[in-house]
Amino acid sequence: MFSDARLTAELDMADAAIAQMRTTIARMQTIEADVRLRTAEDAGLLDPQTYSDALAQEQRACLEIDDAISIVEIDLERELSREEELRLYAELRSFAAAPGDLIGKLDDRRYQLAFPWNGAADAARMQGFVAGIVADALPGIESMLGRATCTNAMPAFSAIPMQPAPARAPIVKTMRSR
Amino acid sequence: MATDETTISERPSEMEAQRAAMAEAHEALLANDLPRAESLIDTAERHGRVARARLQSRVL
Repeated sequence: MFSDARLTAELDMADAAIAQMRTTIARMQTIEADVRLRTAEDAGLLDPQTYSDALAQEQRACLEIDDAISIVEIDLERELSREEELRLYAELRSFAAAPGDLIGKLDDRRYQLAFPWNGAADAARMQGFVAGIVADALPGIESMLGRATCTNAMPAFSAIPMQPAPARAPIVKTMRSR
Repeated sequence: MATDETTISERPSEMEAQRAAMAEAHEALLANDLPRAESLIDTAERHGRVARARLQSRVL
């Protein structure tokens, strides 16, 4: 049997459930919109000018103690979609996560990573790691990788065909002094 | 003990319709079909308003 009080209580509960579902929908819509609008630049990928300025600043800091910066350049066969670029950036950022590490976009197809306080030996190692990351993040997209170590000037890059993807290196780097 | 409340043997059809719409809306939410979930919640709300109005008129 259903009394008036019970029916009223049920309607009150339904109203509360409806309000909660509306809140859930609004939250899900916000998340969807956020995902739709999110770009690699939103996530922290530096534009060419900002990257250049930040690299110059790191170079000045390194020069003060006569240290070097390892630079790895990625040259892709084509421009990436927003989703691809975001995926690449997220993967690179998980590796280039030390203070001062920079990830910048040079143009539609070229990206550069800078690892301050790294010498020539590190540059080769970094290039190997980056090659694995790019292959994982962008399967099927050909790329060339270049590496250099700079001290007081931007290095000239010679493109190096990317080697077959090595086994993914653990995302652990040796601690670097700053 | 005397009471002014009336009782009925079945839940009013509008309330049953509301429950059905809410169950469907829940399914749509789980399927991440937000437009359908929103539409079903609107339907559930309308059924609820009608049910409440009928209940109040009966009580009065």
